[in-house]
Amino acid sequence: MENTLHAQEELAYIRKVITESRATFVEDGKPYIFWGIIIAIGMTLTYISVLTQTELYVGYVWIGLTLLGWGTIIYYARDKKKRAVRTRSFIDRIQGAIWGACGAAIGLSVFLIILGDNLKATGVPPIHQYYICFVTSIIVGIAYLLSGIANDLKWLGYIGYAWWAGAVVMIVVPSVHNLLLYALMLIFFQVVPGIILLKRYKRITAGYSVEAP
Amino acid sequence: MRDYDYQQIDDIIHSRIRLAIMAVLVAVDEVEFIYLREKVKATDGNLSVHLKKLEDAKYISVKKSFAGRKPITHYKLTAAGRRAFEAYIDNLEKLIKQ
Repeated sequence: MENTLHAQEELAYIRKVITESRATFVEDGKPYIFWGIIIAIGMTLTYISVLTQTELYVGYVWIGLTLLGWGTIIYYARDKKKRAVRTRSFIDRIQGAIWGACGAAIGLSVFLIILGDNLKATGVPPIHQYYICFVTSIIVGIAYLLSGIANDLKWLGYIGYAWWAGAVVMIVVPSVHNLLLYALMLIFFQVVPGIILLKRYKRITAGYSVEAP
Repeated sequence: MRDYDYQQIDDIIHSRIRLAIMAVLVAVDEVEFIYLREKVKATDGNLSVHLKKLEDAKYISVKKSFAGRKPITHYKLTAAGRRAFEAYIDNLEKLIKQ
């Protein structure tokens, strides 16, 4: 009986240590929220500018937002690296690789589309800037789908399908209002999931303390 | 009630600190000495002794590197260590079910 009780305590302790160690790598959702807000602001301003035919210095706004975005992400990544330098997990590396690869793909695609006119000289037909939203939605969808699998969160993976559905709408129903649609997608499929992940992170990491049984 | 064979219990893991070390390592890829010390709440000397025992049993592997001039020691669970830990858990569960 005493042995059994001891075994139960040991198992409970092992479970607690494992859960706490894994919690170090729980996605906190902050980059999702941050990027979602930044791009949604840029998209909304672009939409208003196009719709009202007014010059809102959209180009400068995008440069400013992009610099602010990358600056904050670099600061966040350095801070996270400081915290995580003592541990490394496979999921953490996979998660970094997914968003790193998709971020690079988005950056390259947007760069190529913006440079479209310059590509004319090479004989390659340019892609209209309208397709930026479509292309980035497809790539972000892939990132969500893979993140859902990596974090074992089905709902996060389903967000990927929502991004693809939005991309299909942009192609099937081409309209200037799709800029607003994209801004709304950023709020509901980027900022909201980020808030859910942050709440989950706070719930999981709250009140842990490991002491030997 | 069936007799439980106490000899099945792995003595190398069956210590509070070593058990805690194995539990931390099973959850993550690699950990630094300082992280383990914080998690296990042991002194440097005590922790080193237990880590050496696990290393001698080939349950963990050690990697030493430098961050600038600062030496860093990382610990990782080996395949043999993972198998031993799983067997240890199985034994505990069997004991509970008895």
